[in-house]
Amino acid sequence: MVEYAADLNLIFRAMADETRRDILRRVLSGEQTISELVGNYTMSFASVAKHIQVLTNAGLLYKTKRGREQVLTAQPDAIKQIEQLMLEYERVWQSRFDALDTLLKEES
Amino acid sequence: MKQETVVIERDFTASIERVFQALINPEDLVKWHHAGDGWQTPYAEVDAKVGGIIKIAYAGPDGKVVFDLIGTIEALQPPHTLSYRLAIPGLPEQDRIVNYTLSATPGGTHLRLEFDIEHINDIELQRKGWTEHIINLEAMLEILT
Repeated sequence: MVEYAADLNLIFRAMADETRRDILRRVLSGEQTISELVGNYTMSFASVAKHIQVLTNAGLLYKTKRGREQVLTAQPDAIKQIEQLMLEYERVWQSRFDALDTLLKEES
Repeated sequence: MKQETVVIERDFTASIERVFQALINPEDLVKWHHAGDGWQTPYAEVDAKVGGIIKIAYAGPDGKVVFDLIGTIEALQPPHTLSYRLAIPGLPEQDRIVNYTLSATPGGTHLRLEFDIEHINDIELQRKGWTEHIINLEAMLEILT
């Protein structure tokens, strides 16, 4: 089990936006300062700030202070929750295939 | 015409000094003083004294400036009060006051924004626009502090 029981609804809501997925991808590939991150987008600072708020509230990112700069780091545990959910779905799916397999073997 | 005012209030976790700075520091203003998503603030200038000019650019998503908000500062009492009288070139209904009052709270800062409305746009549209400003201010403060 992962350590943080982050709210899956918050996580999926945060992921349901192209800009936020892009922010997450950038931060996952390496921590980013707020100013570095904002520089990647043509939208206003406040718009990017609001996207970051949604991601931090969902537990996907967290923010620390380094000198005068704020640094964003990804929170892999929250991402693991998505992975686990997908694996569960895959297992259900796989068990159906196995059942079908058995059925077909019995019939032949 | 009798002036009607709208009041918007909000609480921030940032200190009163930090919130006040965000109201008059051009580097901060360009980060939040937009009328909603899609709007931008390419530049801002503030001569922070009574009688000084506050100028804030309003631009669309393409970065083109639609108009400059220009006001003359009438009251400036850091970190509690900022009040300016609007004079936006090309727009009717000048002489409208925008007034910010800050007070320290146990959790941070309480902001009260009071502004005179104009009679061209719907009052709810004006309330929405200024509320967006304040939501943007909150996002900026939360991200940067």
